[in-house]
Parts: sequence; structure tokens; C-alpha cells
Amino acid sequence: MNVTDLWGVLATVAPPCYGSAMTVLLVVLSFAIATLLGAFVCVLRCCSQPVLRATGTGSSRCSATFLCSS
Amino acid sequence: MFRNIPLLVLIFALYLGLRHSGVPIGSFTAAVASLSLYSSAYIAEALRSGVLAVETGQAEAAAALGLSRRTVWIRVVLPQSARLVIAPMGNLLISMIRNSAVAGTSILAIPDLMNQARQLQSQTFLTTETFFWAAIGYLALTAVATAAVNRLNRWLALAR
Repeated sequence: MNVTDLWGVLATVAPPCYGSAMTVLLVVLSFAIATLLGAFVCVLRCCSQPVLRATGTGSSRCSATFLCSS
Repeated sequence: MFRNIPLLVLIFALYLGLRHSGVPIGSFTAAVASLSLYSSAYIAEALRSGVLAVETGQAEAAAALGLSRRTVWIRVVLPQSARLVIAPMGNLLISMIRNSAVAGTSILAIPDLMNQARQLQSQTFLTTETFFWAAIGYLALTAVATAAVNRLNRWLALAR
């Protein structure tokens, strides 16, 4: 394999590799931020609706209300 | 709210809306922000269902033993809910990988796998071959994510 062939192979392989790397970067960053946002929203929702009526007997409280109730 | 807005509309609204308002937001930042906002609504529900699945009695029993709220949360509630949340979070991660293609093909033109495939297709006119290999690329990415989630699931599973 000479140098021209090598550049040809690299030119073929580079765009998909770069594209995959960009996809991974985009997903990893977005997932990390989304998880943090989601956890924040989850705690907010648990604190704002502490009592959840269960079907049948009695009611159940969200475990996360321990974070907001004394 | 974000669960009821299509991702493409969110991308348009965020990118064009902020730019119109004079906020100089980059395309990559807009892509990350839109994907995060779109997925965070689903992730919040997954996390909430995981926390709700842990019986309140567990936390109350731990509190009765004199553990602080912080310790109850970290040692009792979180470890149990984490096991329940792994599977839905894995599904959301996989759907995010697939949704990232929308960011590549939209006005943001993030140079991701789908965008590279489109560029290659426009240069070579090999439509079937190009998008076949793009599909294989996404399959490989989701397979790696699935394997990682399964491994994490096994690691967190209780020894039976």
C-alpha cells in the first residue's frame, strides 16, 4: 500500500469516525445535563406533591419528601 | 411541557428564538440544550418512578433508627431506586442517540454521523450504501450503550 492509497483509506474512514465521535460527545453531554435537570425536577415534583393517593388502602408518601420535610 | 413538543420544533424555537433575541448561541450549544431539555422531562419521570417504587416504610424505618435525612437518602433510598432506574435510563440513552440524528439533519448542521453520511451521499450519490453504513454506525453506538447499561445493571444487582 503506497501513500496515495493510505490517504484514500483515511479520507474514507475519517468522516464516519469524526461523525461518530461528534454523536458520542453530543449524547454524553446532553445525557449528563438532562440527568441533572431530571433529578432536580424529580425532587421538585416530589416536594410539591408529597401525598400520593394509592389505590385501595390508605395513601403513600414519596420517599424523596424526606429531602424537603423536616 | 417538553414531552409535548417535538424535538425538531424545540431545536428551531431554541436556536432561532434565542438568536432572534440577540443571544449569540452556537449550533452545538443549541443542540445540547435542546436534547437535554427534551430528554430531561422523560428522565425526571423515570427517576421519580424509581424513587416512588421504594417503599416509604424503608425511609421511615431508617429514620426511626436515628439516621439523618441525608444518610437515609444516600444509604437507603438512592441505592434501591438506582437499581430500578437503570433500565428506563438505558432506554432513554438509546433514544437520545437516535434523536441526535435530528440535530445533525436540522438547521443546526452538527457534523454528527447522520450529517457526515448526508455529505458523503451528496458527494458520491451512493444513497443506499451511505445510509446503510450510517445505520450500521448507529447500531454499533446503541449496541455499545446497551452493553454498558447491562454491565451496570449486573454490577448493581443484588447477589442472590
